[in-house]
Amino acid sequence: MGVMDKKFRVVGKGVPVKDAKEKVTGSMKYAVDFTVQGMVHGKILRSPHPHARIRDINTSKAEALPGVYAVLTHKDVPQNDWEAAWFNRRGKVLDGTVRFVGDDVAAVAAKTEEIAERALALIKIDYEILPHVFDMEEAMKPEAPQIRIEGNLRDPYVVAWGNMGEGKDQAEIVADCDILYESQQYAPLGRNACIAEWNGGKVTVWTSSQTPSELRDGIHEALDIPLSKIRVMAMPCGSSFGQWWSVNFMLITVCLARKAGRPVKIELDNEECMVSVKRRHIERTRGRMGCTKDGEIIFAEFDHIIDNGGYGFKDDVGFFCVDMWGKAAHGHYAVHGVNTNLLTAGCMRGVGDCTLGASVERVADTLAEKVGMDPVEFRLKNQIRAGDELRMQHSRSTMKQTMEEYAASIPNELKESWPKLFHLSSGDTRGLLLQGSEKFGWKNRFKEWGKPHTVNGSLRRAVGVGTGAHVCGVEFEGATSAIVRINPDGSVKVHCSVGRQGQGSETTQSQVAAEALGVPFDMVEIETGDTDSCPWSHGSLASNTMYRVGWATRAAAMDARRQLLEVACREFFDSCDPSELDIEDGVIFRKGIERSNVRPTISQVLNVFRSDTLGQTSSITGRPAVPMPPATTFARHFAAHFAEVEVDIESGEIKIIDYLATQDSGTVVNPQVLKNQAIGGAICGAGFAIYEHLVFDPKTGAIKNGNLLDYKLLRAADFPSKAEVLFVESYDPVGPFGARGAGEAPIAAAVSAISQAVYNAIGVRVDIPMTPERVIRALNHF
Amino acid sequence: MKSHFEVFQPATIAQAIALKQRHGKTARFWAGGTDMTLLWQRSLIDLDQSIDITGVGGLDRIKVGKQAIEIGALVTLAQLERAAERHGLLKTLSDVTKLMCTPQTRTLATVGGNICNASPAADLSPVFVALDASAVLTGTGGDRSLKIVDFFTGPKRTAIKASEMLTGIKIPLPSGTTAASYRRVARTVVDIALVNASSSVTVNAKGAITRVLIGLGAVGPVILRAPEAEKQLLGKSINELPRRLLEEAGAQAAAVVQPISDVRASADYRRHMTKILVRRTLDDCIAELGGQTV
Amino acid sequence: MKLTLNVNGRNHEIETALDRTLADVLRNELGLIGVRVSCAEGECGSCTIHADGKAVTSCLMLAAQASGKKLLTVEGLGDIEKLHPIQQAFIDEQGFQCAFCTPGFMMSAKAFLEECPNPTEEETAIAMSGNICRCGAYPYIVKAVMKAADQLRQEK
Repeated sequence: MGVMDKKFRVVGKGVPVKDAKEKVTGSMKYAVDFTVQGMVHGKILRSPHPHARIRDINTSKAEALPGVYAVLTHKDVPQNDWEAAWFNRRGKVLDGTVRFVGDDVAAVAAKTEEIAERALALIKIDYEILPHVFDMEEAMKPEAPQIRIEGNLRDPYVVAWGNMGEGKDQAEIVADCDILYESQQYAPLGRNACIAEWNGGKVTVWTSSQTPSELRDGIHEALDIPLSKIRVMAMPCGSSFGQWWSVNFMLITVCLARKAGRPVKIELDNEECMVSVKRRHIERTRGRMGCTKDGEIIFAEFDHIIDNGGYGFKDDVGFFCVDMWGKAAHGHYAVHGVNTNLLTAGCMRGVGDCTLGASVERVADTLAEKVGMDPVEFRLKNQIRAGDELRMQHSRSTMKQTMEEYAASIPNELKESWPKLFHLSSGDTRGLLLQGSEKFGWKNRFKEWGKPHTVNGSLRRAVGVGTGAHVCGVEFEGATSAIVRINPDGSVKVHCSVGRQGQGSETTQSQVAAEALGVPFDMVEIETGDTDSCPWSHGSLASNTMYRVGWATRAAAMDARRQLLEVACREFFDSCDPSELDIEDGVIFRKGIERSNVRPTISQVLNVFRSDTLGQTSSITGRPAVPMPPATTFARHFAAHFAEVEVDIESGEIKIIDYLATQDSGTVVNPQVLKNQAIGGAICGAGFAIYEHLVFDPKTGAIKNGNLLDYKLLRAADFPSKAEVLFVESYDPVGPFGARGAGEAPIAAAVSAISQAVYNAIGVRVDIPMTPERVIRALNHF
Repeated sequence: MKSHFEVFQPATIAQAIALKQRHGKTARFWAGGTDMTLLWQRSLIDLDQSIDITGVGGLDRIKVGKQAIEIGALVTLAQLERAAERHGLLKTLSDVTKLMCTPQTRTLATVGGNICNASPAADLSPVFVALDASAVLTGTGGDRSLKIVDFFTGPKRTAIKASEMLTGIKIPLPSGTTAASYRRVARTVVDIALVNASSSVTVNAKGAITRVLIGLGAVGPVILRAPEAEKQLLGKSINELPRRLLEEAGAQAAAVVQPISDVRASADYRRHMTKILVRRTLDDCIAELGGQTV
Repeated sequence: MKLTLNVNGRNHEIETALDRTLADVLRNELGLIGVRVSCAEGECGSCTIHADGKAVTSCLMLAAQASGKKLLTVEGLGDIEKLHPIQQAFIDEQGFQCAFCTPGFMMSAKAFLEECPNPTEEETAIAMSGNICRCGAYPYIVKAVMKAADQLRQEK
């Protein structure tokens, strides 16, 4: 292809993000800022009960209130299940049963929000109270109240290899754990709104979403109307981390607008964002690992439970710790998904990695301590290396088979460049640990397990290291695509449905397209939210964007480039072979010929094209021409974080003193963007490690801290400003220009690094969140 | 659902009090309004009339006299924060304000509003208790003065009468040298105290302790004093003061608290931290006074 | 009731109930969407603007209380053609991801740098703690404010 061989011109540059000026001038429009002519306002009635069936609902008074356009109840809603991406929600828009306090009951559209609120108070409901269950292990029992028609318990998701009996026999040292993880809240800044407008049986939806295609699919499932009649216009999100995929309030807006016969806007307030949408699962790991006296892990056996809340339907969480620690000869991991009458749980950044992954890291640390090995050494010895087999693929034998059957169906010539399936294609933690420990001065700062390096009165300082891995997108829900269009003036428009959640994908995708086409970055614009123009993509989730969407964007750009060069060859270069041509800065030239007057611009080529007999249009549209190899079977991204903490053993307060985040996401497409992903992950993980957790009322399951006053988020002075990022760029054979995924390994590494540092400071393990109180309890001070 | 209310903007204390008398319980004095806005938005108060007193003159000053420091009720937290240079005790209060809410809310929030909100976890209140401060209450018949420790009657409740307005805080300056300290446990740098404590220590020219006052927050319905702990140190010299005495004072303070468990912390933790924080605040005072513990 | 608000150097006469917050009126009557509202309880700082040169949380202030004050929102800080040095520094250091919080941070930064033109990194981090960035761009926000401080000192 040529492009791969030369130095990158756009990829790797820290260009400011495309929307930087909109962002700093405050002119960026999020969904909350959006209005359409004639719209009215919607409000949602929320359940006061954890589990109840509506016997009777009387809306006549609400409907009679002046200014009310429509009242929507379950009787108005098609009784079809719809599913959010990755089983984050499954159910009907409204079905007459409520499954947690805060659940959607009904909705009102009215002239103003205030009238809508008054109307909600006029809806009379006769509830039949049903028995409820909040504790996930209670909910697993057969006699527990069943929350869903499918039952509470999902089939266990199991990864197993080797022979556990043999492994246990061979292990000389064993360590175990039983850890309960409280629920982290996305705690979004920026709320969300949805505006729906019907016109001629077609609906247009504006909302802040990371997954425009999935939202369109959800509306299609729920309403049973053709996909072609649904247009989602995803707007920029405030911070999301998985919260703003497709959410039931968006579906309610669509139904309410249809009933009201007017465009409707529903804006969630801050509390609704925190108590009615979703959250990270409550999770519990019980497990053990065994190793030899010289620190070689022999077996790993973990049992992990996740609570899905009312509507989550997941049977797995991020399993990528299994791969990262998969050198052990024998393994057995099982995850059990279970429903409870708590707020729905879903995928939050680093799902499973900061919980199950943190448990595995903790048990590994315990083994390392028992054999007297340094944590960096222990990881170097036991973690996966590029080329090794990936264990996770053994999870569901059917899945592996399906994947193998799929691969077998692909013609060989398309598979020539594929990496070996079920083996790690590139990158690992080795470079991160070696370069990171060097830069952090690890050897001088780590004294001994459970021992601080400095003691000053009640203050103890120590360092910790943690690692994290995550997939780079998953293909099980669909093949991702993109369109690259070259306009007659030589400008380029990329269409890929990844939304805009702030992580800079509109910029990095544009860089990929510009690099592939040989045009200046400024000539590329992008549409990421309009499902009428963007082909299907999974969206910005599962660290999918750069790897899979980036692959599609590059493939589409290469396809457009091929078409362009074919015309150029014929019209300008005496019908030479297209491989003899190259494009730089939007100018096409023949390679190897230094001085030639024949240097047409893209625009010149396309204008020839226009007058040509080939067609009426002078633009070129490129799309991926071949299927992408299945990323889950070989691609992972990695992070290793190094933290120094100071713990006050009298108060239990923890301060993060110093921080280094190292990251292997393959080629760095934009260092400005990637550094923010790494540090942003570190800070979100640090928050989860030391403060963030939802508090549920033991009687009702209602969330007691659904506000930013008592749901504590770290602030600038809570994290060291001198924190640094180090990239290790292992070139990836499949990702665009060698790049891989980015955003989820860092949060996992942070949780483990800080947990280990606290252990080293005080000599006892504290379950997260390591609040001052929990630290003091762990120290047995009262 | 939040109600609608009228806004009045009186120019004098007399007008403000007259409005309050006319409208009664549903009328609220409105200063910075940062707590009031929240209470109203969450429908936690009956509110039909807001009496915006920010136009009332003369209440936004800090006066440092020989006998006392007077802080007007409308002095903002930002003003108090910037008054550190004017007196040693104002330095302590300035440091306290830096822990309160956020810089951009401190420009609005007032000292009077903070006290009238009567949160048991408030940051300034235990310091005012430890400084033996009084609330100045102005009514139709003139002013009366009430010790801060008696001003609070319960969570969100004060001894202020329907016909009165808080117009200032008065901190007496006893003879000798006084140092005060405030400590708290919070989660992130911006937070409500999970538990807090403040101590003041006064010494005479010979370095003998003549007065000790301790205010304890977030460990009871109101700010508590710790009389036994205070007595512990009276008459002792700050030079070579046995550390044991400070620890005992902490333990005695922890014995008087009546904390609850809530979403922020458990009663056990609060009791434990009272012990630690009292010892630390006393230690701070001794150090500031140039003393030493052994 | 009629209310006159002076915003970004211009007087606006608005017919409004007096019991509305300033953030609400600025957003919904004057269309100043750069005044971001997230928590509406003074915690997140997204709605930070200036009143008479001081940073205030406009979600905790009644519109009526802003009458007679000179208000400055991010829309008056700089424009796309001529960015304020703070805006440019936030771009240069990429002190944001989703940027919902950015206008609030910049307004806090402006008030801080006017009072403390030559801050240390630590002072800056504390001063920037009145705002929340859920994306966690804090180290780059602090660097941006330090850079803007340099620039503003040079301009003086």
